[in-house]
Amino acid sequence: MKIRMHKALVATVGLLILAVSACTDTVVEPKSTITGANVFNDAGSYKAFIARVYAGLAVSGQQGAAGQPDIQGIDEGFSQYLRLLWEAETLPTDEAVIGWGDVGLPEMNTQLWASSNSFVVAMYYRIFFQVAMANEFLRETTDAKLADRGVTGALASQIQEYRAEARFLRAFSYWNAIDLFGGVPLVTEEDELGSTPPEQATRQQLYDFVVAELTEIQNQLPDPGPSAYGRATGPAASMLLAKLYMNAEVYTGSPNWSGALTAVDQVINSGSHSLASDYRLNFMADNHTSPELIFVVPQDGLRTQTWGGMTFLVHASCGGSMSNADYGIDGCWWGLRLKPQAYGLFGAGDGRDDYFYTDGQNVEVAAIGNWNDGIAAPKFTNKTSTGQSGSHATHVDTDFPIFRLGDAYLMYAEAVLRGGGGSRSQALAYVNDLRERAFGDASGNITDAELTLDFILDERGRELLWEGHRRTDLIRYGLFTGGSYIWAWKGGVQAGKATEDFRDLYPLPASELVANPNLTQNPGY
Amino acid sequence: MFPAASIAWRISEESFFGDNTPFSDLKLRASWGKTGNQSFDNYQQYSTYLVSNDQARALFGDEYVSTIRPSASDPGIKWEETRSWDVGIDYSLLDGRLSGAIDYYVKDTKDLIFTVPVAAGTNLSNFLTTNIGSMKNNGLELSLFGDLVTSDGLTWSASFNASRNTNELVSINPFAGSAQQILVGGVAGGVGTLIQVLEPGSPINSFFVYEHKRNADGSPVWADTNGDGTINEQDLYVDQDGDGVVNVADRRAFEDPAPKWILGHTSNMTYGAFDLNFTLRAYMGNYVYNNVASNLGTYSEVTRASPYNLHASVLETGFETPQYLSDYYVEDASFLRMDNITLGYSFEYRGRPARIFGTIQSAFTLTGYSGVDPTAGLNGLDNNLYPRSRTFTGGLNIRF
Repeated sequence: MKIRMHKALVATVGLLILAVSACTDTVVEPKSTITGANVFNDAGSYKAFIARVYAGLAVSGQQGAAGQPDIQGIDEGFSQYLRLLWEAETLPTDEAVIGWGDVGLPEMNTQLWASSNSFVVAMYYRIFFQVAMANEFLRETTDAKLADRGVTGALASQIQEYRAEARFLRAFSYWNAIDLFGGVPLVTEEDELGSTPPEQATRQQLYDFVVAELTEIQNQLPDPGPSAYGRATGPAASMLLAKLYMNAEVYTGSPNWSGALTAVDQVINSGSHSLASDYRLNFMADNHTSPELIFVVPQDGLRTQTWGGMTFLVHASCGGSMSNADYGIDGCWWGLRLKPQAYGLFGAGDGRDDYFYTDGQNVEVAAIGNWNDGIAAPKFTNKTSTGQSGSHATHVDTDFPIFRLGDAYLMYAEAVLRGGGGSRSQALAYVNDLRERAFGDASGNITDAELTLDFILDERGRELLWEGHRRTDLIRYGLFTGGSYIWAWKGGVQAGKATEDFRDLYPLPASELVANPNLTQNPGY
Repeated sequence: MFPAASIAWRISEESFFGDNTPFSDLKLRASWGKTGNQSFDNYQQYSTYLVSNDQARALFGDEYVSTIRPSASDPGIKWEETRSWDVGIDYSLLDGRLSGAIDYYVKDTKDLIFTVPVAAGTNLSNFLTTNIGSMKNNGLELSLFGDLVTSDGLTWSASFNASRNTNELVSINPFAGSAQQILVGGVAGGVGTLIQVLEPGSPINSFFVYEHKRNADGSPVWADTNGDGTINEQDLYVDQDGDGVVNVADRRAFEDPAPKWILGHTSNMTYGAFDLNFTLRAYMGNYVYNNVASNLGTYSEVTRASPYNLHASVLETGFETPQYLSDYYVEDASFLRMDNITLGYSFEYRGRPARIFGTIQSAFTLTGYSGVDPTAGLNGLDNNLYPRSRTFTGGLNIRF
């Protein structure tokens, strides 16, 4: 067909090149937005960034108490690191039940979680958010970058200390991953940002990495003291190393009790910490004054607000006929109570249960959803040691003791009993130091014959109740799953029943197996 | 560069096009173009730093420090590009009393930009805005406008339009997670529950659910069918891959929120001093996930510390725990809606022209969807407890 060009045939060819240069090239340096290219023009940014890596344990985002969440697709209050870690370490053990019906939460009480469990999923993403922040800090503070920006002198050496702290925080989160999930990807500052999914590392590889990191940075961290409160110090690194060695048999198949003993001995003999004269001071709104705390997650009612963390722990421990004002808070959340087995550990004369609230509470937990079933244990409070309320009635001032000297004493004793060396009489002395503080005099002291591994486990249950150690302890003793130790609601029934041993590890999130095809699910899930 | 070209041929002006056809105008046109998509935030290729507010500071030794947080970013992000072809006919019949157009188009989009979950450890958050793959759309658009009745007493003009679109995700960029499925579509209840999927071969945002076993009466099964003492997904859902376990591999793409056909009709009538006009709209083949039902249609709701009202679907399902991932909640939300209807009467008042009228907005909706409104949600996720209002308006216009 012949087409003649005349008015019936109209052709237009448009070539549109918009006047904005962004049209041909997506890369335009922003002028008004803070990016990695200009943020470090301000020397204060290094401190602001390392503080952010610490804040990953304390808050849930950049707007307190909620509003600019760090991780997406998850309720922000639920997603807070400390809250998730505490729940994962405490709820499935003999220590506590939580009475709420939020999807996924009831299964945390009974070890019956599935791989899509919201709280398991959120813990996984929280760990990797922390790792990512630490890695980014390390990438932004390499010698080359600092030289480029002309950073020298006091600031440069200060940044070296910050780098050690970032590596400590990364090691801490990888320890959580090793303990909770087993083998996960090992991502470091060497890995480029992008979206290529990382390979899965074995539990052994992660363990080796964390041990090597801690050994290397131990002496580069700040010394304990007021300017290092809430930060990672040398003793904190030793304590974390001791935790890895104590559980080396679980993590790697081969024990390292002598390593544990050496590391915990370094903590005790650093001379920087001592037992608080009053046990309760460690859990109150002014617990930053306790000489016992080695590494804490700091909270503040006015300046460090979150719906997770200690806000959760103090409020959820309160309910029923308890008066919220007695704990310095504006209301109770009616959530956490003791399982009967934890309550049963405490004997007459032991002052460590003085705060238990029994009025109207039943020892047995017939119904998890019923607040009155189970003794209340408001261990953490927003009241100070002098009876003052914290600075804010919703968000509390109480810091969370991740590591404290009382724990180190019991670790020392356990390592001795397990053949790690050290002195048995010293072990007994440490245990009795804690007993004397608890009983107020020597009436609760034990004899050498009474110093057994079973005693240590029970003593840990008393001394460290609700401090987030129990799951790890029970796994080390081989009692968390299986049928040798049965407690209320283990396996989903009130009387308790044996559970399968694959539940010593949490499952990798089902959604993550889709996002990262390199991952293999933990056995059993 | 975003070039475009078009060509049109007005056949009705050709000499071979005789006067004895019913067409008063006939035009054939074709166009091709390439466009970008700017519907995402600036500086996605850079990590930007957000400063914390005063309530999210960190204690650092003996001082409280405002912190900075870098955002997740994809340094390799590219423009999303769409190449589209369109061929169409514009026509006019009977001296313009009937006119309209027919169009067929194909749109190929590559480097599609989406905010998706990324594998943990790859970036600075668990979600990232990135190029995820390519997508294909093709469709048909028909329109017809007519002055149907033009007698002295009665006039009626009407327009009709119909469009059909088919959408398919063609590929997922291996850079974006290597996964051939990306979950999207967060729903209320549960923490981080995602109900939709992006996967090659399925329409974008397809629902990603388990096939719920059904009882003889069509209601979803709620029973311990495997006799292990508990009711869980093993009892309720179809094991698609037949491996003996119901797990994430048994979820599948099932329907999608986009309508297959969109139909519209507007009529304007006058009869003497009366005027009547109305607009009708219909969607066919669009599906909605009833999140109100899935979140609240469970007896476990009453055991919560502060329970909500139960959703009535629980009377049919009997669910004692929420079953967010059940296909029971994916409903056909096809509908016909009278968007508005106005009846007016014109008269003279003291020599001034005046009109009295009444209008109903959202007059009625005919649908099989069980939620309050088949268009309540975004992207087919209905979590809207507040129904669309029906508005009645009456008025009197007097011109001075």
